[in-house]
Amino acid sequence: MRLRSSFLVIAVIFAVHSFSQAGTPKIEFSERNWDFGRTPQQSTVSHIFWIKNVGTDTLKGISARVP
Amino acid sequence: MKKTELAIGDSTELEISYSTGAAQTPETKPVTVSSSDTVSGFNRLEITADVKPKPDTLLDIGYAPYSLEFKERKKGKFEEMKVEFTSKGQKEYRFKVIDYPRGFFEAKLNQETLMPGKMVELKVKPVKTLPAGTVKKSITLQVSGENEFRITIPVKTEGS
Repeated sequence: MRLRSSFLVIAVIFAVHSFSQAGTPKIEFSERNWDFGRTPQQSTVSHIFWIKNVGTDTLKGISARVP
Repeated sequence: MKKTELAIGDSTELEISYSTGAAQTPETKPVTVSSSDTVSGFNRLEITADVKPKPDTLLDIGYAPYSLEFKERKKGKFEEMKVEFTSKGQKEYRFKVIDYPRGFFEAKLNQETLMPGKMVELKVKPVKTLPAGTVKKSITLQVSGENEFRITIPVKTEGS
C-alpha cells in the first residue's frame, strides 16, 4: 500500500514537471490600436502591426480577420 | 502576413489595409488575430480613422492633394510628389511623419514647423525596388499645436 502511494506521488511530480517544461507560445503586439486620424473618403490606407512570440514554444496558425 | 508560424523570439508583420468608402464619421474597425496562444486571451487589435470628405474644411490648415497617385515615367522610374500644408490661421503647428511604408516610399518634411501664413511640404518618392502592379500604402503625420491630430495621406503607384 505504502509502495503504491509512493509510486503515485512520483508519477504526479513527474507529470507536473513535464507539463512545466512543455512551454507555451505567447503572442505580443507592437501596439494594440492604430489611429489614422483625418483620412479622406474613397481611399485605402494601411498600417503594419508587429507580432512577436515571447513565449517558450513555437507560435502556430497565426491569422487575422477584419470583419 | 509574411509568416503564419513564429519560433521563440521571432517576429513578423501584419499589414492591415482599410478602405474608407463614403463614411463621414470616425470609424473603428476591430482586427481579430488567431493563433496557438490560448493563454493570453487577448487577440483583438483596432484601427481608427476620422474619415472626412474632400476638402477637409474643419481645419485651419489646408492641404493638397489629399492623396498621391504616382505614374510610372519609365519602367521602375517615378517622379517625386509632394503634399503642401498651408496655414489658414494664426496658430503655429509642428509636423512629424510617424508612419510611412518603409521599403516602398521615402517621406520627408521640408521643415517641421508650420508658422501662421506659411507652408510645409511633405516630399514623397517611391523607392527604386518598388514591386510591379498596384501598390496602395499610406503616410501618417502627427500634427501638434493648440490642437493635436493626425492626418493620413493615401499613396498609390501603378508599376509595370
